[in-house]
Amino acid sequence: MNGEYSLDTTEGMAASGDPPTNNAVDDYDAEEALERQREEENKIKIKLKSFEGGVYECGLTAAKMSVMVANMLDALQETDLTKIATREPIPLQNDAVTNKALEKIVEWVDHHWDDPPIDPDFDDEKERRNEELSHWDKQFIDIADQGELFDIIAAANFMDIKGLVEVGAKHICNKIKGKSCTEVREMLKIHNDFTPEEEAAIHKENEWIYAKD
Amino acid sequence: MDSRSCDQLSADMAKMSMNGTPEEYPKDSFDRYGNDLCEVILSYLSFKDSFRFECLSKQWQRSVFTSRHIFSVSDIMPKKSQFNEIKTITDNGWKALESVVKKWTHITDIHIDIDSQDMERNFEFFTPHLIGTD
Repeated sequence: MNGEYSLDTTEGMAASGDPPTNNAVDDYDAEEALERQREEENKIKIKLKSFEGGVYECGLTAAKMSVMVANMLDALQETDLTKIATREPIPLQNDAVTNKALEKIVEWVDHHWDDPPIDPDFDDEKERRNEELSHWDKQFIDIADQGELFDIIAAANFMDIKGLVEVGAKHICNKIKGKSCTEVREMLKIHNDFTPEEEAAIHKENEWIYAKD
Repeated sequence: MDSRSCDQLSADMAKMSMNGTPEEYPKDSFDRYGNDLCEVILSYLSFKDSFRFECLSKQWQRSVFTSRHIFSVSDIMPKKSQFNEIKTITDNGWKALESVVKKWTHITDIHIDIDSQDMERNFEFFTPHLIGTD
């Protein structure tokens, strides 16, 4: 096994909070300023164009939750951000970005634009992964038409919106939790390309899952 | 191939996605996803589900463990109430550990929560085995 071991609680049984940072005040001011800037920028509306040609308006900060859109905007090298609003819509050239999918994606980023950015630091990852979806996200992602749901996740992945991909992933994993393999194949329309022998071999390897502790 | 799937296939071939590959799968089939996205989604499965669903398809087998970077030792430990002595790391626990070591090839973090004295003793007993694995 490569990499580092992080043994979080090796200190013992005493629960410990996060140690206070030395320059907490500076950090706070910088955060405030950044927050205000994001708020201002989100008042600027930009246009996004789906693969099917539909054009949807979206706050700039919200739109930048898509790393792909953020990169495209950076590439414009436009210092006057208000000019971005008057530009041609940004085309999203992937067939998963249907009108319906883009409409939902804009709804999601408009709701989440002031979320704290996902911390790439692994310390928080376990917690974030185990965190349940918010009530809002649950309702948002509970989409009866599976094709549409899959479009949204694929489109979010294409646009590189990590938070939304995560919502979709958690939703799917929740839906199939505790179901049998046959049920999951049926539900997600997965073609079983194993021979019965291959499948049995995998079952044998993983037999321990079904035993009680 | 029946005539319906022939029609489907030709319809799919007609609309090529942007990277030039034909769309082979219906929109509501999980099989439409490439390995990258499949890996991300499956990384959110619970510990046991990840092994349970390994057999769904070859793509799932390929993808289900590749994005699992964090291994929580508590996932293979018996429940707290069953901790009476160090021996309680059951055969099953060892089999589980063996599977993790064999199949989760991208672990970067191992989490061990020590929240009881039993657990602490287990940890002392357990760590050399864990670190000793390659």
